[in-house]
Amino acid sequence: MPQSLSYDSGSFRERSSRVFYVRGRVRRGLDATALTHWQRLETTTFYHRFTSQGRLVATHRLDEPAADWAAVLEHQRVPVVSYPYEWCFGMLRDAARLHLEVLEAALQEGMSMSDGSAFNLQWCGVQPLFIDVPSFIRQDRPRPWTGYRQFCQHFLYPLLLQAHRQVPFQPWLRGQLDGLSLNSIRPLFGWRDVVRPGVALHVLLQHALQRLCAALPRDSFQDVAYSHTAALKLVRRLRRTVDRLHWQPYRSTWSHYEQRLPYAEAARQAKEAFVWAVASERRRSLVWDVGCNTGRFARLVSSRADTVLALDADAQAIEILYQTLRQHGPDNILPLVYDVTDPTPALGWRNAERRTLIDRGRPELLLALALIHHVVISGNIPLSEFIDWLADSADETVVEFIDRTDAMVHHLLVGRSDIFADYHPRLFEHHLDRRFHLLRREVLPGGTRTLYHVRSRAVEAPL
Amino acid sequence: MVHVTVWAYLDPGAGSMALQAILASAAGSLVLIRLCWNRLLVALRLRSKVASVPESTEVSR
Repeated sequence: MPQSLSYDSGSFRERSSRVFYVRGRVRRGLDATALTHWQRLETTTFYHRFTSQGRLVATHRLDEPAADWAAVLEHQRVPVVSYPYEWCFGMLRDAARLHLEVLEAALQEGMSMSDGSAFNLQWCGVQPLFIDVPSFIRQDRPRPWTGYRQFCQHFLYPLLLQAHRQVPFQPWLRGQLDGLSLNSIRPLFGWRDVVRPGVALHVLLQHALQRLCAALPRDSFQDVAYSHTAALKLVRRLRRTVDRLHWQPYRSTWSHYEQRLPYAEAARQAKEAFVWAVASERRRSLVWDVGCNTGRFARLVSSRADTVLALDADAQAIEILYQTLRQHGPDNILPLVYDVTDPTPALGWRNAERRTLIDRGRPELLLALALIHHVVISGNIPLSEFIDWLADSADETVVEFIDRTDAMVHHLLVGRSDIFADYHPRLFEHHLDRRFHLLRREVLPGGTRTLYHVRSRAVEAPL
Repeated sequence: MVHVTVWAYLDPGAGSMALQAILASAAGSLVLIRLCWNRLLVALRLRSKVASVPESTEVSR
């Protein structure tokens, strides 16, 4: 395999193609076999249809080859790479739908897909995008789908877990990069669950067959003839199952925060004016809104940014935001389930296969509004550490300090011994000054909340 | 029958392939019944090992 190129650390499982980067451009080397599949894909109508709809990654073949690859493709760049364990239920379900829709279209034109991985999908705002072009393979004859088991592990089982058992799938997916295995999901369902969509066939029967066939050679079913109709039927059956899976967010701590504890209208307006003034200074490529809740401020800055990441630890708040963005836009906000006190770690082979979020998209501007008390008091993170994290994460930050006299902070301290001596405005400003230049400060009406616009001392002022 | 190598980095898993085969048609289910029968014979010590799917078995189109 050619070694001289700057390969993506997560692109290695499929030996016949690999992603690498040249001056910020995303390219993919194909060997001779993968090239024949690409040449077939280019002649299909579904490829051009999905690409023009923005649901399949835009790709073109370059004239010059690279290293020892037979051909090189160049892909459209995704704004920020995200992982399935950062998505909410609705996002995983919509990604599964797109995967199956693309597969059905491929089968109708004599192609299939080699896998069923959720990592094959990314997001442009709240629009899922299928990115793994080498997944499409020519088929000499209809065959069972090799990616079916992986599709179950990456999509169907996590969805079943949440839809039928109300268990959040994100921690499970984060703990098992190849998805939820059949053996791990099977004990959660019994024969009384046969009426629930997807359980009887894809869990119970498949598990029974897995046990029955455990002693068989791996290629036992390889030469069993299979029909085109059967292949399509399986995909349509999966689509119907996925369509019938629903999950309704219940009232979590944060999902209805604004309706439950509205703060004064004057303070809200002043806060929006402050954030808008910062956003209006210049267009930024990437903004993070950490602890975004309903996404009010992510929306506010979205017209002055190429991409906004709306991050919240509460999967239910992200679910509501995702559904709202799907209906009303804007189309450049990507909502993700993300806890700053327990962030997405580097995972997989050599801890480099899946990267940290900051490694995938360092923001120019970070909004940390109504966040500090949750991190320092609920999360037990020392105040100085919180400031250091802000300074290490972005060049510019808008951070809100909330005084102890504020009702929300008081609520967090009730019933706890107050070990948070560092949670004090003077200490906050001391640590802020240690790492940042102060650009603007404003006390909001009500007097318990103060906003700071700061620039990291590690960076030069923009021209 | 032509042997075609599975073109993928994945192990599709015997269970998932069996499921797709039996969903395909009644003939696929026949394969499963024969598997069960073989296992029964092995359990009753009337056969020494579990037989694989016969190569001539076809799922009707």
